[in-house]
Amino acid sequence: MFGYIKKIRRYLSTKNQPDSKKEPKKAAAKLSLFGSLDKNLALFKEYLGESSDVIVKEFRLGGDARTRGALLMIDGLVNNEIVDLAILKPLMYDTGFKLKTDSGALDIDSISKGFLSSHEVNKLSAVGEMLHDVLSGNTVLLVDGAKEALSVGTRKWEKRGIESPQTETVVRGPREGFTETLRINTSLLRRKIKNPNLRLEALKVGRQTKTDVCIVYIKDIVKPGLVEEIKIRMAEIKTDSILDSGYIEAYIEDAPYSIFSTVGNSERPDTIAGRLLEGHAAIIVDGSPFVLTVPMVFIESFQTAEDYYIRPYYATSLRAIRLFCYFITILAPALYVALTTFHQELIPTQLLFTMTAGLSGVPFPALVEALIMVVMFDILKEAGVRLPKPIGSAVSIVGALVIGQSAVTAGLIGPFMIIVVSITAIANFVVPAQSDSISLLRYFFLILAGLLGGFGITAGALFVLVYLVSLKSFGVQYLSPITPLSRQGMKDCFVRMPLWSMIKRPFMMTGKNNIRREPLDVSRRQKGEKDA
Amino acid sequence: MNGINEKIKASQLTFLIISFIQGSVLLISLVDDITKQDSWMSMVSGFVVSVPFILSYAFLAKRFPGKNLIEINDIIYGNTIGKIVSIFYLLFFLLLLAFNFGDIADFFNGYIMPETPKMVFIVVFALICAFAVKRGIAAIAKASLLTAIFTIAAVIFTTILLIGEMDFSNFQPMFESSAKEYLQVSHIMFCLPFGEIIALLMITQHMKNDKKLPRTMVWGTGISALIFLAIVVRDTAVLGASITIFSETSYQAVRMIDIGEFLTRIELLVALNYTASLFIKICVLYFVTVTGVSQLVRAKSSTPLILSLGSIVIVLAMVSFGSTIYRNEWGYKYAALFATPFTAILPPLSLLIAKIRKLPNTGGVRQ
Repeated sequence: MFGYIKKIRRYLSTKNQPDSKKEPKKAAAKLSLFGSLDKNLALFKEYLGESSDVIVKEFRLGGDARTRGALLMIDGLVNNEIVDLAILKPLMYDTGFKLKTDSGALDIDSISKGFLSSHEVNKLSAVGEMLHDVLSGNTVLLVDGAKEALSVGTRKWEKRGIESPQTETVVRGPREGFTETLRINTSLLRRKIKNPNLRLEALKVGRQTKTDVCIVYIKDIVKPGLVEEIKIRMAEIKTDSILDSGYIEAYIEDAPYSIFSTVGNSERPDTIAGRLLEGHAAIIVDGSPFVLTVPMVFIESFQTAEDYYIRPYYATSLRAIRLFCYFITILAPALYVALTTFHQELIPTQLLFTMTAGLSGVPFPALVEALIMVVMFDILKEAGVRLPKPIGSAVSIVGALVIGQSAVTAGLIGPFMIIVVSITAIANFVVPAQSDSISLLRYFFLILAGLLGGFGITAGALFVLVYLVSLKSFGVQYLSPITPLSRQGMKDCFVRMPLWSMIKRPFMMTGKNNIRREPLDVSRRQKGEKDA
Repeated sequence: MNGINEKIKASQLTFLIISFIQGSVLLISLVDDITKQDSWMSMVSGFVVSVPFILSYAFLAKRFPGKNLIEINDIIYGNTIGKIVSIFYLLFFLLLLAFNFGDIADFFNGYIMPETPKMVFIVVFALICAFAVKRGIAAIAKASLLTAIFTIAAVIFTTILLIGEMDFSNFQPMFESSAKEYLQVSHIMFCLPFGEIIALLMITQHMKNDKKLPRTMVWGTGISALIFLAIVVRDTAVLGASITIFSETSYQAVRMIDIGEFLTRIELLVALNYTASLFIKICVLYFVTVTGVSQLVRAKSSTPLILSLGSIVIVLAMVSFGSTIYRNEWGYKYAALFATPFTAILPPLSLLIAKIRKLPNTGGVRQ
């Protein structure tokens, strides 16, 4: 059986390999610019075609009417004021003298140094570079007679401002969230960690989209070898497009066939900063407010940024609630089905009488009843996400009324099933980081419980357990610090110990720089109390 | 197999041993049948008898670092006799595996879901164990940590809840059983739950530090013996003389829990506990059999053996015992005798021969 599955996997993996045909315009990257403006412009038009947002502004350099120049840019990606005032105006009115060197050749450096009042000017000589710069919002200046072009940083486009994140909202803690723009996101991290060791390594991924991707880490703290491993995996990405960080996740995760995600993500700069300081590395993708972190361990899903801002006792109780909800949302329908179908003797007698009274007249077996309700809940959930907001409330009213009340009154579903599914539904949203696996596991256990009762649930749990312990994320055991057990890791696992007691970084991220805090010395304060 | 090169740490091995031995927890009711209210003493004597033998396993493994039982047999007895001894060991493990599959089916069929055919339990359980074996012994060891902690927590929890039901006069009259009965129970306790950890000698090449092995093995066995002792004391104190009547005493004892008519009938906890521990035990035996057979026939990979051996074991488990009564009869009359050559005679003998022949010849670790 395993061999057969392996064969299928091998087949799939060969099928999914991107076709390795060479890009037709690959030559453009290496082609160098001509000395003639007309030839260069023709080349530019050949590559970019007749797009309506491409602007080619030809002009004559001031004072020397025979020297022609051209500006290339994309409308909407450039800052018009800078183009007009800092590039076009000085070139058209102030240049002219000293443009040529003594030997008579055109001196492109003197334009860059003498006339362009912009802090970001680069010299280009390849067509590929020129195209990329124009497409990413720079303005490229071509001058007749020069084999090199100048690229001026003029990027500006409409973007969403920093808002509070939609997911992971907190009561106490910072309210800013990442946006779709890479630069804003990196600036948010820089503002949190003012440390020269915070490194942002830029890459470009995607043959067609050329998306900017940034690997962020703190040099002395990051897990040794992690950044190199990320780079190797990033280099293996051969795809047309990266439209969201989810694309990157799919390519770099350790277990691509797993239902558990082995790459963490967050919309909150403070969460990401916290993980960077624990030794993780982050991957920011331009165009996505969700920043990835690797490695990811299972217990991370139950930790929130707020845990560290509130008192440890309360934070610990919240973690217990989250873990409890995780099990409830996966197992509650399954347990209900197992109890009512196979193990009625385990229900306290008085409760059993009440339940039997409620169940009388329900035409379906418990498994079917549970499946109907769980599917119904998933439908409502999906509809609630996709619907426009004004209609959303209508759906929730109809859902609550029709399913909650009418189904019971009509005798389709037992009232206890409604309670069980409601608890399941509410608990579902407590652990958002695992929401995708939760939903699948619920069906898995439900069907096992319907077929084999308590034995099925136990067998399923053992299966999931063995699966989880054998998962790894970037060399870190997925279930650590629970198994393999670590005392240091346990301080921030089920229990959130006081901050000052977490002296070392979590064990799985061991590097040289392992101490993160000094223990708190309260003796002076306590002495003061006694005196007073 | 995934993670085949991953090593098991000493702490993980302790938990693996605890879960492995706890997989035999049903045996306690057999002991209760023989020594009745004195069972707790026979537990202690059983453990004390086991210690030297377990040490002999550990020293045997320590003497041949990185070698497993089959390789050790080859060195000690020579190629031909060594292979025959190994084949007997593998048959022993294979039969144990089948009996344990039969146990799980019997338990669920007898106590929890009487209408479901036994085959269903065995096949479902075997598939999950096959998956675990495919994932490697390191994964099984990591999972055993959680099952062991679950076992310990459940025993403590149920004991606390049963304090109200306990009556310590149930232990009287003491020393009522005859010396022969003590001997029989000690023999059963040593040969069945404790002695079966001889199977762990097959996975020594997956262990990280051979030097700590004797300590780890005795620790693991000691903790398991303590858990057994706690269970026996709890059951005897709660049920009294009636422990001889029930064929599953823990299950009956936990059934007595009644806290405010709310926390009642939590005997499913015992069942879960038993299933989880037995899962680890079966996985270890399964892994050991599969790797052993593949080593013996010099197979390139043991993966194809997993399901084929599994199907043999499933059939064996179905046909091995006609009924639960037959199984119990076997359990307390013949099982210990059946296991004796493999757990009590061969390992000390091997150690003795190794000492006399001064094996291994090159760079062996002296004790």
